Amino acid sequence: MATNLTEPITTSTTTSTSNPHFIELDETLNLISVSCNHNEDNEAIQTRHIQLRKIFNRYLEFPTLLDPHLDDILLRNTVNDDHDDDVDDDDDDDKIKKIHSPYQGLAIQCRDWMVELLFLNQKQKQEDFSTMTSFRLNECLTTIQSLCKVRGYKTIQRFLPHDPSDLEPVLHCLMRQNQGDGDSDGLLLLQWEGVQVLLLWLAMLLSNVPFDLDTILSCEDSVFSMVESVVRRYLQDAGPTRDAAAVCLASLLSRPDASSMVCNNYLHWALDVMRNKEFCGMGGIYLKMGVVQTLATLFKMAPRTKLLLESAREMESLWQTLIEILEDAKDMYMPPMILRKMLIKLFARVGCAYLPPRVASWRYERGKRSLFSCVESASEPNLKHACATSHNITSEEHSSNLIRDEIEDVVEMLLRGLRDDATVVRWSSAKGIGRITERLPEDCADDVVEAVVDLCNERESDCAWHGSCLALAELSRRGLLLPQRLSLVVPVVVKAMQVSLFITIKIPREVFHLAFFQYDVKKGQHSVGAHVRDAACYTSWAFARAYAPSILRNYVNELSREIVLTCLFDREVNCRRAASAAFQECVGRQGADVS
Amino acid sequence: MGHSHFIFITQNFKNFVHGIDILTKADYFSLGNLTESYTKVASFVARFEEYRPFIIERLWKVKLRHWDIDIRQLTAKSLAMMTLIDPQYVTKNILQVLTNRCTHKDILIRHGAILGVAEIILSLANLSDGENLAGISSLIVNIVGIVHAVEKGRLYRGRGGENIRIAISRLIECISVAKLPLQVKLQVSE
Repeated sequence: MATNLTEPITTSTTTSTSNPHFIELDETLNLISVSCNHNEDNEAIQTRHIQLRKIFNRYLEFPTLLDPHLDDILLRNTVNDDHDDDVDDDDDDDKIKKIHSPYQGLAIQCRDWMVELLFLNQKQKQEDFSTMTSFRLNECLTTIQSLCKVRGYKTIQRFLPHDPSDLEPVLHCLMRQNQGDGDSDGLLLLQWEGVQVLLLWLAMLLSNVPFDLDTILSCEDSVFSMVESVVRRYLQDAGPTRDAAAVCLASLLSRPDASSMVCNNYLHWALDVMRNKEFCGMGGIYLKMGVVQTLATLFKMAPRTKLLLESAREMESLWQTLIEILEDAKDMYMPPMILRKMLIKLFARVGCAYLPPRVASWRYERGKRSLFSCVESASEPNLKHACATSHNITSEEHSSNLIRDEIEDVVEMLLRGLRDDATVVRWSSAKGIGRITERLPEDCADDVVEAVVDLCNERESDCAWHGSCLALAELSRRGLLLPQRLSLVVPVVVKAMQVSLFITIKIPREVFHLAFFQYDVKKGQHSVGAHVRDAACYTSWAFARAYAPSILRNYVNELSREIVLTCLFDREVNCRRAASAAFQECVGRQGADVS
Repeated sequence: MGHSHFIFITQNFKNFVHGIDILTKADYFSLGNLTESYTKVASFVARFEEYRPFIIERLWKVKLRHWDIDIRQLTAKSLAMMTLIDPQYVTKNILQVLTNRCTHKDILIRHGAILGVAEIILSLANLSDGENLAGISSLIVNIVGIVHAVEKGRLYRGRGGENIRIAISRLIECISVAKLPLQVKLQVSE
């Protein structure tokens, strides 16, 4: 984790590694271009698309190799565009020249079929033709989904057509899909892959189309509630369609033309879902996850005051429920773990929204952190590095009285998240603590640092130590761990690097944890603490990058000794390598100090 | 950046002594192998006096009683190499303690100590034709007596007994190769 070193490329066996570019480009483009032929039968279409997906899946390990060609694969359109063709002939781009037949990218094909379906729907005839179109649409969308899987949906979203006129066909397809599940009239039965791509497409359109939705879509009821009801039903899915639906709903609610009524309605519904005891089963857990995911995405996308000011009352009642849910979601099995991660993300984002966005004036700033300026300082007798920047404490900043109760809740939840059993939750909490602390006044932030350090003691589990190390690294990288605190923190990190064993003793009603250092005892339920040592190496790596040599000098002996010993003698290979990376960072950035 | 400037900078890597030298040896690949990092890399780093005491101390105090038997064996090998680098330090500070620990009630400590003593005396014997052994003749009597003491303590039996038997066999091998003086009575009983 501490190192960015990857395995040497030669050890991997995929095709792409031996040729570091997209070697199947011609084949891919040929496979895509055949589809303009309308007389192809279903089986041929399917084999063609399966072939395409196979090609894309080969690039799972090196997805960025696809980047230069995504435009060709998805958006390129030469059918009704002779002028465009001429331009390409002028370039010496042989790969494009090879395709003589008219060519349409996958997304363009999808759009045309969706328009066709919309048009057919209005005419209500030619059913055969419609089923064939929907079959092709499904195959094509599934192929786009495999691209999303390989390259990540955020990148693929940018290569989908985003004209305001595309909104209606996409929405229409989703609505027909909904009806189709009920009875056979809908005629459109997409697989989940197709639904996921449509939802992502809709999300992208909703966040990019600048005009009022009322002017684009016609609907007897409110447009917003219609779109919301279409998307909302996917929030309870177990698979990736839930993520896509959450993104989609968040884009809808964060639109500038979404009135506070729309948001309030959603929050009311969310509160109902969260409070409802009927949703406690497996399906209910998924719905709750979907709701929390939507809120977390919403707080990332929307302007920070939008929800807090316009729906203050709803947020407040939702808040308490969310805290209760987080306390309930303590089970080890999979979905609650993700639910906890989502809740932690949401808490951190809401906390950030409550606090004014500013960079803490009290933080430790070193100025330029390039390696060169660090080496240069060796020749300057007087180091110009400022310790903590000037303390210009304004009255507003100093008063911890202004901290709202919600912020205290947030910090408490995040600190608890640091001790969570699941690594993803600890990571999210560490990130959240970094973001929140940056916006707090100095005295409150110092309390946070102290609480994080307190997690490293002999009576805590390995999870708490791990989370604490991650949070300390995060704080130091943001300059929030002030130099005067290092005397407290460095010994803790050194101790974490020596951790050898964690024993958990469970007696009825109570659980005891015991941490052992250096000496190894083997009794009861235990963890060998390798992840803690690895995280401690990461923390010292972060320290070496964050502080000026003059500041870290007092702790260098202690740190370097432990790092070298871990590097040589740790049982786990990842810890030895992490320590070696930390040592490299220390020598490179700290060694140049003139004593 | 001129060459002289570079030398100036590298000479000033005071915080991390011999940092660059160690970095070139202890890299991502050499540390990937446990055996290599315990033997080759560790003995390279131990050549620098600033690190040697810590390395030897960590080895015999901590790693020689590690719960993983492979680690204990590697540590004994590593201690043998440390003996080649600094025989004085090892004989003065470690050997006596380890000899006493050979009948320790904790099996991990006992096993590690026997292995450690075996490898150390072999190194001492290989080094300068046993000159170092001459200075510690009283200790050698104790070392030779380990085999008997372990038997007397019935430590070959019970959980982990087979590991102790293997370790004692190695000790006997090392005693023989090192040509340690034995009393007639001991020779017969073995």
